[in-house]
Amino acid sequence: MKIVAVFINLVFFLLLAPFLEGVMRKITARVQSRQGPPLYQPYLDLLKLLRKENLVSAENWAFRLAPLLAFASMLAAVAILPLHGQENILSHEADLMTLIYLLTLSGFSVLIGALSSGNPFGSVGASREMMTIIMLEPVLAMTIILGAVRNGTMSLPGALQGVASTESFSYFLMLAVYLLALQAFVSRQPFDIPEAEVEILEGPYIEYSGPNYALFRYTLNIKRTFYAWLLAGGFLSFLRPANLFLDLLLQTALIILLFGLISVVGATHPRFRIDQAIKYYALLIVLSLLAVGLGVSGL
Amino acid sequence: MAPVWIFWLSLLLLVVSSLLSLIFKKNDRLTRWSGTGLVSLSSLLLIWLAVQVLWRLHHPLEFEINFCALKIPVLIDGLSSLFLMLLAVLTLSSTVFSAGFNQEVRPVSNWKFYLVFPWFIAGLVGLLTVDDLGPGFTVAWQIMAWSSYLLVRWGRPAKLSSRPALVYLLFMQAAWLMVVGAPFLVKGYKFGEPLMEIGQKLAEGRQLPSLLFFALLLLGFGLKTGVFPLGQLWIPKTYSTANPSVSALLAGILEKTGVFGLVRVFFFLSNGTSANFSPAGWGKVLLIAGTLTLFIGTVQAIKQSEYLKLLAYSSIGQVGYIIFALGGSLLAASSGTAAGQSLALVIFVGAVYHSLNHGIFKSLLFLTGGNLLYSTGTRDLNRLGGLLAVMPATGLLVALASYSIAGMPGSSGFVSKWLMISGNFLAGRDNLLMVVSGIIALFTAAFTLACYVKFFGLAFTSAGANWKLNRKVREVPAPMLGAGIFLALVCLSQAFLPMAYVRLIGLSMSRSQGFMLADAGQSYLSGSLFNLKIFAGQQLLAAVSPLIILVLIVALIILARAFRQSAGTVEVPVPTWLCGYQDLNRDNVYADRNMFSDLRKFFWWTGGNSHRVVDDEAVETGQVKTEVGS
Repeated sequence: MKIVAVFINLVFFLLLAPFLEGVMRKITARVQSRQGPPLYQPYLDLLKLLRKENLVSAENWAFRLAPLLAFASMLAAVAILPLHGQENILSHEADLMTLIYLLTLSGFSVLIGALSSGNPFGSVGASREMMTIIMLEPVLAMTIILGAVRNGTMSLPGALQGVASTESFSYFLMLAVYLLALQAFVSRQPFDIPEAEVEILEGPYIEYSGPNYALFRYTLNIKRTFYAWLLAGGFLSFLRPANLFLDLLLQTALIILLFGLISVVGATHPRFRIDQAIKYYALLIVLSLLAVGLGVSGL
Repeated sequence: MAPVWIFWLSLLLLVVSSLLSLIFKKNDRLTRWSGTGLVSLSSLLLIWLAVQVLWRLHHPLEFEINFCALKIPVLIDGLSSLFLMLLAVLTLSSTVFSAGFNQEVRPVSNWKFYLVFPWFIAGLVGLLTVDDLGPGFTVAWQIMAWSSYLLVRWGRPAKLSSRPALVYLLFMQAAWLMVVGAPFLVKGYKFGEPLMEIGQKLAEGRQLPSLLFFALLLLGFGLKTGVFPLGQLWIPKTYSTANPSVSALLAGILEKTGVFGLVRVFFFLSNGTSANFSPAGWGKVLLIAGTLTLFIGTVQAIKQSEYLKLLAYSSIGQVGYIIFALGGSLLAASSGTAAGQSLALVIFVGAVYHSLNHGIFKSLLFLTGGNLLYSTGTRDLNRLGGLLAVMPATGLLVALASYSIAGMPGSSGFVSKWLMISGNFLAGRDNLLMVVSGIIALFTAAFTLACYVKFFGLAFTSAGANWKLNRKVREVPAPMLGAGIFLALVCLSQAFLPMAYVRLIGLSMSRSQGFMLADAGQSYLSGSLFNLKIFAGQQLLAAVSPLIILVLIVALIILARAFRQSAGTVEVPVPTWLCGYQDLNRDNVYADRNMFSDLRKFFWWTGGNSHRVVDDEAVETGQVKTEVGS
């Protein structure tokens, strides 16, 4: 069962992630009075990309490795999650620090891919992406660490359970910070600064096409799903039904709900500049530090 | 052979190698060969000595040197042995590296380098083995200070190096004054007493003098280690001025002798002076100093365009982690509970582990920085780019070292940071200071990552070197690569055999007398050879397993690769796409000065903002007329 749990994690995220992009595109289209593509369109897009030529603009191993590493480390991150609140076979090998660093590793691979393409647009995107990672990672880290400090354990099931302790004021503050940061976590407007299609042409992904780009797209979708999952698996994990199937259904529903919110906000807000965003992230860091402070003092 | 004789023999070899360079002065090749050979032999002997003390002797090696009227107590215990091993490994790689590097790049004639270099090593050996704060310490310190002064002075043309070298020497002398002066505050202190006796007298004395005593030692050793704001005064300029093989030792081990001093003072000397030493108070001081150091040092590193300076600032940041953990350990120990004591030991092991790790990967980074300097002749990241194609081996070494220092999963830096930070969170769950500093330490790792993405990304990937450099770049010769590969292997072992190193640190502590946490009770730390776990009873508190994570990632990479190939598409090489207006050329590549510009602006208040990079050739061609200030 403990091994199966890892596969359930992988399958859950692999299957759900493209669908959520479909949800996002549909809602965005509706907000903009368009019809929008069918919900399964992202699956078709992935298949289409896989069959395209793989264009390579840089003759080095870093360029080829980057999409693989980005995808693999993101999957590794979701593999160690306690999806059903229970330990899996990897829970005794990895704790929340591994999770945080795996997420960083995935972002880092995108950067290296962008830089190794040699394209200045890619480098601009990489620079912005790195600044975003620097300013946002603390918010994610503090969300989970608050739980870890409450429960006195760094192991993921314990820490995520700690995230959901609703009797304290710090819970609500951290939840608010998490929701305020969500749009940036999933890099949608107004925080899609690293990609910024009309400005720097998808930034880090500019030189990638075909199967390599499919991997990056998939990685981005899984990343978004993970951050949305954190609401269901972290903050609201006290709602969790005992039955695995019902639990996954509930989590999926919550994630879809959150994606609806993300899409509406994304479709109605213009993009920030990076310097404005940095200030916003700094505010979030201060607020989450405050939440951790309150949590440590038992409030 | 008796361990004492090994000790003397290794020192003798160093002296002989220094003298030989005077004799072989005229013959460049002979100087290099004899210097490299004898210094390497001496470092092998030092490793043997450490092995003897750790596994054979079962007790510290103590003896006294009587020289004229001077009595110098020498103590080689587990802690010394551990740092001697690090010194020996780094010396070995640095000398081999120099053999290649000095062949081509030489601001100073070779015999001068090999005249002084062995003394530098001897001074470091002395610092790690003498057991007083008087004559022995003075002799070792002065040998170390003057020899490294000369090495820094000779690292670059005089116009660029004379001031940094002088500043370095002055700060070393200031640190020496503070360390040697401190024990005079202790009532009844006789110049040249062993540390243990100073400790006993401290316990009998009054509170204020002992407070000042510890403060002076913290300042003295802190200056050497690079605690904020003291480190910023000399480290960046010194490390970027010296020959990279010397910088590798400066950052790898000279800095760590400061850590060694701090450990000796705050975890050994302080033991037994209970009334006059407050672990909680000093723990807080170290924790705050360390957190400031690690944050500011790393943020300053991001701003540097000169890669040797980037490495220098980043070593301030990394040492900050060690100080932070030493403070956290003292604080956890001061809680008085059994759990607190056990976790204090976990954090302490993390600090020592990080010292070893940082010694290795920072040396590797400086050596590979030397490779870059050797091949490209520039220190400016703005002028590099795309070197992976021409220097693949160096690129791979830099990638490994960068990956490790950024503490990514499955690296040595990850294990030691995990020990320090997890321990800190677990021990300080109701201590706001510990939690907040732990969080700062955790996310400073992202800044470290940014530094090294910049270093690796802009030097090796990206593009630009083929337009901006006026020479053909080649991979470096074998000795230089060999030294790097050797360090890389050690670095990998530190990543994937964490338990072996934890046991080694445990063993060295059990071979040292007077360790404060010696009776910390049953250790929380357990695990097999390949992983580490923190248990409280049956409950798993934290776990790290670099090998399993690596296997997981590799398996998933294979899956991703199968996915990528699933439709059987082919790779098609294409030129870089710049919206169809033009091709990539020297006018539109991304330069280092643009990287993270908004973040640099946001953190301007942390200092270290200078951008100007001056290459040696600019001095030779007369572009730099006056001495370059900050």
